[in-house]
Amino acid sequence: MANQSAKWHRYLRFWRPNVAADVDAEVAFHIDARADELCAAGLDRGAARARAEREFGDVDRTRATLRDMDERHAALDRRANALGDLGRDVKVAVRALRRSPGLVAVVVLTFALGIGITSAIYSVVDAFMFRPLPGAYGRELVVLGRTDRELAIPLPLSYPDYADIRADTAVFASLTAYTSRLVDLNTDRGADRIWIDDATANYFSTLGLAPMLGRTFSPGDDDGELAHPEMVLTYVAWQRRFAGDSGVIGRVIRINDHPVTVIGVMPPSFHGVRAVTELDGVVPINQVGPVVTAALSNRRNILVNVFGRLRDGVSMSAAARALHLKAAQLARAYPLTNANVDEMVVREHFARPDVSISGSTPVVAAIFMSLVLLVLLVACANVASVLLARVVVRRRELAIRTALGASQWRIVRQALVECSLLSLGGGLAALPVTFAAVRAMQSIRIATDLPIRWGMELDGRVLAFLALATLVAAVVASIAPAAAARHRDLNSLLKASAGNSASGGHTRLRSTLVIAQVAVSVVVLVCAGLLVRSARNALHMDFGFRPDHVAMAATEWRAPAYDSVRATRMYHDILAKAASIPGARSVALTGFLPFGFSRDNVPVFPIASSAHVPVNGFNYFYDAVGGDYFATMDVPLLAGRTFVPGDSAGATQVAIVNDALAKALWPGESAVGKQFHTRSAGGPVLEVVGVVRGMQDLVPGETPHPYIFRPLGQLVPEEMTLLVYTNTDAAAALPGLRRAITSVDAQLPVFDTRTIEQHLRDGQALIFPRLGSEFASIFGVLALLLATVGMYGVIAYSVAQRTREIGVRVALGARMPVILRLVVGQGMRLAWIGVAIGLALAVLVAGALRAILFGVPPRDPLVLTTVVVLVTIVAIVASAVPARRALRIDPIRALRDE
Amino acid sequence: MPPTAADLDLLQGTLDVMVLKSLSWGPMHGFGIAKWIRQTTDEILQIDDGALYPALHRMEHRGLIGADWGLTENNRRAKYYTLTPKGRQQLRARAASWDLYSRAVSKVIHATAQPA
Repeated sequence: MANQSAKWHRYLRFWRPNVAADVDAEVAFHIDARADELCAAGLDRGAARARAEREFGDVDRTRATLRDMDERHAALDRRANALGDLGRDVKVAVRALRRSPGLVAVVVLTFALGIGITSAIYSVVDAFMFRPLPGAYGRELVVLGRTDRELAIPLPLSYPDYADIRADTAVFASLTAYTSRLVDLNTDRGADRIWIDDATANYFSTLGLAPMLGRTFSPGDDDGELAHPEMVLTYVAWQRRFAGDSGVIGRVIRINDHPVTVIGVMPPSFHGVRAVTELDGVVPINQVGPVVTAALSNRRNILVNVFGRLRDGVSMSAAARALHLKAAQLARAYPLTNANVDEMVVREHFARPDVSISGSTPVVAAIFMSLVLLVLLVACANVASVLLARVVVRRRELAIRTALGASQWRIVRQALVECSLLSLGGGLAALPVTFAAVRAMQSIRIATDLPIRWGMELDGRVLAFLALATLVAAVVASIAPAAAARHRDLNSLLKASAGNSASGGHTRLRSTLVIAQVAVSVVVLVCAGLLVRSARNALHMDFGFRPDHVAMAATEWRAPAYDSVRATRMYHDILAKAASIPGARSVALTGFLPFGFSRDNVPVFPIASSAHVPVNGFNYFYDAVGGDYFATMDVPLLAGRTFVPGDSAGATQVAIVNDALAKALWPGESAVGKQFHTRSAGGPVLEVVGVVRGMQDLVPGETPHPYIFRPLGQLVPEEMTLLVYTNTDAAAALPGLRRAITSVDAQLPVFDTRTIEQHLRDGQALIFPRLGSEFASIFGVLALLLATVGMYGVIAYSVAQRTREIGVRVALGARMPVILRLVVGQGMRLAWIGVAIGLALAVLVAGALRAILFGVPPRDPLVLTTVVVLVTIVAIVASAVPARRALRIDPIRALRDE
Repeated sequence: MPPTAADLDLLQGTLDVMVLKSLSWGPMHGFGIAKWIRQTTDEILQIDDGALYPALHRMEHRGLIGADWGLTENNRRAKYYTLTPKGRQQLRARAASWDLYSRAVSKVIHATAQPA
């Protein structure tokens, strides 16, 4: 009788002993029993009870003591039990896994590759898009942009607009303006070109960043012009240019031949505020020549990038509203310059590397992260399918264990523990893979004009991602095996013989996984193929100018050594020298290269034009060119004439326009002979003497924008690029270009010496398509590799399952082709279904890519066919190895083995 | 006078032995154990009933005794304690050392020879 009750109680204990109730019941029983005893001895009920309690002592305290003791013990007990169970599970799993080293190797390797590569790619995405800038406020930064009703993309701000917003807007805690430029660092050996930011004095306080050595700017260091020539170095520049010498603080260096004092060195984490470029130093704005005083008061001059911090409690939308109000106020106050201007604000990491692409950064980030996750999913699918095979092979064992009373949960838990161990091993093995991959990527040097910084580091953020990826992989990869282990169809399983029954459900699940893998690979491969083709196309597409056989070298002059007259003579001398370079067919000078990093625009007010002219005029890009520019660049003259030596400083001010401008201002008429004012409605008048065909300038594949060319002499840019069209190898002509410049004046800097192919490939034109195609290719190859392993796994497994069946067939006289068709056909069926699904998905995804594809339709037949053929070959190869094994099956042994 | 720490140690060790002994005849609830000790020692050892229970629970946690709920002859739920093998072993060891100890103390107390 007592036993029955004890059993009932044991069930309760399964959940958790109710300590308090047990203690109360035990104490109550004691006092009741004693009271009964005393009653029986003659005491009345009340007195008996009182005495029983007195004899017991302090009842409440005893109860409390007992509860405390029991609770502590129960907790210890639970923990020990859990640990014990886990320990046992781990021991069993380790023993089981040690019996199949091949499986462990395959799974750990797949995980290591999948997780490792994924983490490495994440480190790139993180560095470019997610990692906050250094400094106490790195996470809170926002970037301001100027939107113009006539322009599709946001731009930086003019300095006066920035100053007004900073002075009047209550939503910002701090607001900093900066502009980046290349300057000469004059050394004993000549001049190094370095990148600096000219910034307002609060640059570092907005970031919340302290110097490693020396100091940063004090308030007021940006007052006046050339009054505080001082510079804060980045750590990299300090190491590279000053050999990490701490005596550099206080030293006077020469920037653009002006003395500048080094006041501080920033910590290694600081590389500038653009997140993806490498900066050498920061100087207060307008303190290191040439001065920009005029630009600082010109609302038309789009000069400064603006970043800042919101005040505590101010939301992004509140800041945006305040900016709209301020912009409207500025538009009323300065209708000439600000009528169409609005201001916007975005989070800093959405404005990388520049506010002008703030709209597309999240899209690009999302695309890359999806690719990353797809690859990880493929790896998980592989592991899941391998583990599933294991569960299926062990079904008889599992069924017996279930029949013997092992709980479902216990069996599922065993599968989970095995999978966790494997993914843990995979995660650990992924560490060196990640490390190696990050190292490899860091060593990639893509030659670009911008000092692009490969900011990926194997830091805590990447390791956290790796851990998360491992966790996700463990969970995703264990769902299918755990579900299969839970599956109980005892009778059929026990009845079926182990060797020849591939129960429908599990085979179907594995097949589904393989199909999914193939489909994902197809999607990734199609994307990769399109991006590769797009990058190739972009390289060979018609930009509207000569893409080869042109050598280039840039130089610049500075006051007081030169003024515009002397500079004009100097440029003409350079042209003359360059013309004698062997193989030179024609030579030219240009102020702004198409697809270069700088350009300038000017307000245009046409005369005798049927176009509706806005109050502020049209803003058009312009360039000053010398020599035979249009012949050198192979830009056809459509009407009128090209520039002649007579178009000099004192002669009639002339311009050549492109067809886009002619069509915009004088549609249906000849533009030659027409005139327009520049700068303002009453500004200088230019006469159009020729019309040329438009060139692409900003984005590959664009329709050319209106453009104005001025003759060198009437306009004398401080920096110009010498262009030499040669009938030989352009690269071989480069030393000649350098000599042509330095023979005119040995003090002139020569930079950006390169061929036009290099300019296009490494410059703004193609850098993003190229990066995109390179990364997508890596993903594509990886996905294909993983899919191959997956297909091989499923077919090899199926051959192993069907050994007996195949043996019977062979015994009955089936010939080799029949067996081959049987095995390979199975693989091909899966591959084709996967390909079909993948193609359907790929067409959808590629549609989204349309915006960044140059000259490739999203359903490019070449890419689609190539991918299909590639996947088919892979499927054949993946099936061929198991097929060979199937051919070697000895029917006698196959039939005996049972 | 409240018992000192040394007294408690002695008491605890002694109480443990008595509890183990009381259970050597079979499962018993706390009240039964208290009653048995009282009767067996002719009520010489006055143990607060409250003091018995912490000892019981401690011994249970240490695995010297087991506990399970059962019903008394009056059909009331009570927590029955049983001696575990470990407890039985402990009882044997303690009983032996107790004999040795009490013989030694007894010899001292009844000594006739004066210290040299």
